[in-house]
Amino acid sequence: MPDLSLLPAYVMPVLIFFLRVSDMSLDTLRVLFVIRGQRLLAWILGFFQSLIWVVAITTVLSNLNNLWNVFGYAAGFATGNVVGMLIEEKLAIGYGHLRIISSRRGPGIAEAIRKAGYAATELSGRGRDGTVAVINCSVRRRDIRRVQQQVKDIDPNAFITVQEVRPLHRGFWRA
Amino acid sequence: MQAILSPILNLLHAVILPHLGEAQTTGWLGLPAAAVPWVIFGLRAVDQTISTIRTLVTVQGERRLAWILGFLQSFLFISAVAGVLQSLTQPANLVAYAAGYAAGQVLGITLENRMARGHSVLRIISATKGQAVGDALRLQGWGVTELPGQGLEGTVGVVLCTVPRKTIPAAKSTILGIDASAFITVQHVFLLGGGWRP
Repeated sequence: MPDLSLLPAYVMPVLIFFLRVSDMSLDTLRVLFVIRGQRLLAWILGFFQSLIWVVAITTVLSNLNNLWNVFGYAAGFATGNVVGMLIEEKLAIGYGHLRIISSRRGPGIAEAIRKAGYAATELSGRGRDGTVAVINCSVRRRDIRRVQQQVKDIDPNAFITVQEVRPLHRGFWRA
Repeated sequence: MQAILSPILNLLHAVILPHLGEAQTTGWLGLPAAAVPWVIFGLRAVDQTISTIRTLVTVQGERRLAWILGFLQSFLFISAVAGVLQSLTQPANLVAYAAGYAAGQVLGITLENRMARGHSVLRIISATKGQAVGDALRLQGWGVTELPGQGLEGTVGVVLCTVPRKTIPAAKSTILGIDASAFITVQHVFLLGGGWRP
């Protein structure tokens, strides 16, 4: 490792900040991949994350008399975490299962979802005020907003919940 | 113990301590030596508690809160690490560091359960009392949808009920009060809109 103590004092906190931003972005992504069972990606991200982290922490620890380094470290951690969240939202890897409950517009919603190219399964249920339609629809996470909009257009009062699911077998997934 | 630790300590001494410079001789934050392990324990316990909650908040996508918690957590962590590294000759500091981490995990989980952010959907399968379970839950003010299902011994009621996580124990006792043999599962859900809520 190059001798960082040769750098001007004001560079150090900034350097530490960016090291931590990058390692925490990777770490946040890694955790979110671990949750979704993506082993290879988790390994790669874990390797680079800890590599960068070691550089950042040894830099801070060898210059603890500069409080700005500590602030850079903490702020970098916090920012990296949020950056990781943003990247993850953009990537939106994985699948979501939407459950839509509509008291009157069930068939219309199912039709609209199908017309948009997704699959829908309708069930009929009983709610507080009588019969309701329960529509199940599994889509890629990045498509959730689009399906949600389709539903809202037809029934603004529809009750929609989303759960993360892992596909086990077949079904119709819009490619 | 000492035999296992001493090579590690020697390594750390050789690699890290020379960089610490004068801070090494002044003592960490000017604290009396006896207080250092306790402070380290406290710092780690708090930083790990925050970490647990931050992870949850991250998964739920709340950026602002994640940033604030991340900053606090990281600041406390680096302080604790500094405390340990500047007095590595004290095994008590190492023990305090590890014990603080462990205590923080437990505290974090406890606190997280107490806070119970977000919503969950309960799926209740009841052989004979599906409708009664649904009505009882509605009386408590939650939205319920009942579906007919087919079980081993004929028709069963499948009841879906989305509640705030905090109220799961209350909902559970309501359900079991009606049908003690009801099958109940809980899943975390995100709400996108609609529904009627108290």
